[in-house]
Amino acid sequence: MGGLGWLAVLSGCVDPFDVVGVEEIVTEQRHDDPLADDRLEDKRPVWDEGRLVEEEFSGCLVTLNKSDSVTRLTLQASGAEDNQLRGRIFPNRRAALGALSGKPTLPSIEVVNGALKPFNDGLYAAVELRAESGEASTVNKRELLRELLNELVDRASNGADVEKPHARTAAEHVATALALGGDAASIPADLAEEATQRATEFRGSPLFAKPIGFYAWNEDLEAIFTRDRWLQRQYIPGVTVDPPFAAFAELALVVGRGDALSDAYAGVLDLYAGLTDPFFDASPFELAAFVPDAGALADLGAVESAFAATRPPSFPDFPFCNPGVAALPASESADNRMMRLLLCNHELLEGENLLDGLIRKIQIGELDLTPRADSGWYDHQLYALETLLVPEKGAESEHLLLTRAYKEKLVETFKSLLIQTRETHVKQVAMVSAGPTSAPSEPIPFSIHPRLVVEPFPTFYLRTARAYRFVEGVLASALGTEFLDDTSRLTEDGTRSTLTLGEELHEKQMLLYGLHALSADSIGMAPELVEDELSGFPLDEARALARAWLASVMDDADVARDPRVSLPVAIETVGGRDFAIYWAVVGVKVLHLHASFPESRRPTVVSVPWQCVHDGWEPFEPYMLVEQTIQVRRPVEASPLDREEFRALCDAHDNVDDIRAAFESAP
Amino acid sequence: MTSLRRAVAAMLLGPSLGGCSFGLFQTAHTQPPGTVAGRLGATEVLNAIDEEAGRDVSTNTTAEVGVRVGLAQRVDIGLGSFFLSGARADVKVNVLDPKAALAIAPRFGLGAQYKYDVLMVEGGAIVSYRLFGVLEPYGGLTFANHWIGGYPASVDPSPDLARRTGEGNGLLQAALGFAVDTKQGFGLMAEYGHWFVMNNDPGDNYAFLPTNIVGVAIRFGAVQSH
Repeated sequence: MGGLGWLAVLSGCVDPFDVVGVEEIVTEQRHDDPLADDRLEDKRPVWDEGRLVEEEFSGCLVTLNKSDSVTRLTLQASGAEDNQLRGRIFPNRRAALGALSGKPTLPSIEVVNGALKPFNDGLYAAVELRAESGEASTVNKRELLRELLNELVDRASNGADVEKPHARTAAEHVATALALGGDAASIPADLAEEATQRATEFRGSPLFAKPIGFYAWNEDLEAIFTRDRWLQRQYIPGVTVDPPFAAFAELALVVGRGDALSDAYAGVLDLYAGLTDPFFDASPFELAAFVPDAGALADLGAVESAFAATRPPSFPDFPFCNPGVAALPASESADNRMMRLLLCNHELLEGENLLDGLIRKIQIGELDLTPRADSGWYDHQLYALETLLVPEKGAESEHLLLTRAYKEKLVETFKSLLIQTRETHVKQVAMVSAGPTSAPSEPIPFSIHPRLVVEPFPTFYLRTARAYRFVEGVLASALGTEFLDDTSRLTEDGTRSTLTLGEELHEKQMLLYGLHALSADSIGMAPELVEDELSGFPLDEARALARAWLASVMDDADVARDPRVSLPVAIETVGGRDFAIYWAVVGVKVLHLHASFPESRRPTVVSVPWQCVHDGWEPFEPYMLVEQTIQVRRPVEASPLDREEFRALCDAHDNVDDIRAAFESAP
Repeated sequence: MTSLRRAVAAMLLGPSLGGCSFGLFQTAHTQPPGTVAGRLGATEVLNAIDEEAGRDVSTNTTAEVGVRVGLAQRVDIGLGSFFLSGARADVKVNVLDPKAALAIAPRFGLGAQYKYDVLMVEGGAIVSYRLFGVLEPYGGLTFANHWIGGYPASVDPSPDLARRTGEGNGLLQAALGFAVDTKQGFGLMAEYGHWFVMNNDPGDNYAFLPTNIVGVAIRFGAVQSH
């Protein structure tokens, strides 16, 4: 080594720090007890001199800097009124509010979601109806099925001899879908009887065929539900026989041509992959490479073997847990992937139910809800919920000191929102098996408390806003921008909103960005909107909209709607008998919040009006309306209950245990 | 032979560059008031990761650069380099008669380094005894705590990463050496030291290792009190 080399060595090629020590990355296992009380010494909010907020206490407009403050959240049940409310289940938020007799309330995440859920249902319903007609869009499912049937019928008559029987099989499958979709007139006479009979048989499986959720709002939606559930029926290599593999091989041959019919089919698949999530089963497009021409149909066994070889089963011992192929496959979501592991891999703990198992897997980090590159709207919605189970992952974590009681409340919030969100996607997500006043003449004493205006989880509001931005892009791409500008969402009473979907989507995003900013302000956290969000949704405007909405939140018709829903999510076999696992929101309950600033992490009082005197700190103790969830098992042959039936069942009982028992045994 | 050549080259080149001041390189006797003495030397660092990190004398030899200034009969202050991009200072008080052969000097020091945003606070004591007027064996014990603010992590931020405890990274630094001084203002020092790791902040991405230090230095300028 020459002299220059020595110079390089001595001037720092090997840093002296790296000579006397090493990089050390230490990770901590915080998941042993995910509900353990937060420790104040773990909280290290960063002081930001410029992050000032003005809040009013006893008429005094006080300037505070909360950037290095921490707000402690817990629940209390100490007074006689708290005891009186404990265990009571109310059918809706208005009833719960009535029982509080005007006591102060803080809008909970459940209340905010109360305003979002009807919109989500209405939006999805509007998309479903528009996707039937195809007006001003490239998606027209009804027309697609008709053209597909015509093509298959033609091939069954005029195709190569080796193709004819398979084309006939596929035609019967599509004809049955048309029969279930209320389009029997489009079915040729020689297929009509077979299709009607199959449709009748399928309707005899209510767990799959009975419309629930918003699909029970009108006959058109009911028909879409039942028909699409039929088209989700899968063929699993070596496991199922009906629908036969031949039908999907023939469909693969047809879509493999890459013509207009193929494009229309792909358009439908793309819509649901974006609107809910990509699919669990393969579609005929993925099978097409194995059926390059009609000749390949001569040896269906070889096609099936070659196809199966590309999809090794994840659960060899539980064939029904593996994907197959379907004409219009059901979607695969993040929660479904984990539920499949819990049920098919027997990863549930002793005495643990599916919902609690799912929550445990998220809390210990085995299920990461971060959307994948190809994730649809549902996964983006789930991502917003993740912060409720692992609050330390949210940016607000440094500003919040959560107790075990409050973390338990967040788990309940997660359950409720998961059920409500999943119910919107019930058809498509696969079943596993807070102004100045005139100056007074005397000094005004005031105490400072956490000035919360909405449950302070800014990350949830931000991620939910972003999920809406995502689905807005999906819909504009799949159905055209005209769809958002000229369509309104459906409501549960059958009417349409006076605003267009585009207007409501913008309003919902503005509200959620505003709730993000207001809740961030309330705990001393900086809002986290990125530049393009700030240009589309100016924070001052978003804050103003959120403040106005919060001022009359209980007057919002969507918030006042009945939140009670139920849906089957999986099937399991116990003692040789098949049961469907149901998740349900059974009503509204009241919790009493206690929010305070720990002494060592209080906000800095920057300025106080001359006539006001700060004389202390006090807690903030509003009530919150949250929801009660349950998981029950019902015989697989029992019909799912639509919303009206389920709510009537709940109305007949006034506590969770009675509702659970009645639901388990309801026919 | 190659390693020896490298070591010699490093010792010769080191003083011309910024240094690390891994060694103690001082006796308990203080510099006479108003006088200055300089120090140039080199140290070789040895620890358990040398082999696996592919290090040898060419990479582990660092420079020792510093001066000491007499402030009073029994008080002096030392200034020196610190982890290349930093500087350190320490104040030493000889609690015995400055002209006595035996000297006992508590000392207190501060250091800061720019690159990794390090603050160091140290405290300890040195004992030395002058023999024959020219040879002075010494021993020192120092506790030095380092708060490291900017050592980069090679992994992305994650909620599972340990948080800083604020305790810093503490080293108990033991040193044994001798100084050979002449009345003409030149001296030679040789020293062996060992760092014991006492405390480690799990959230600063860095951990000191138990380390052996061997070094030599020349001292020039005004002689110490006799």
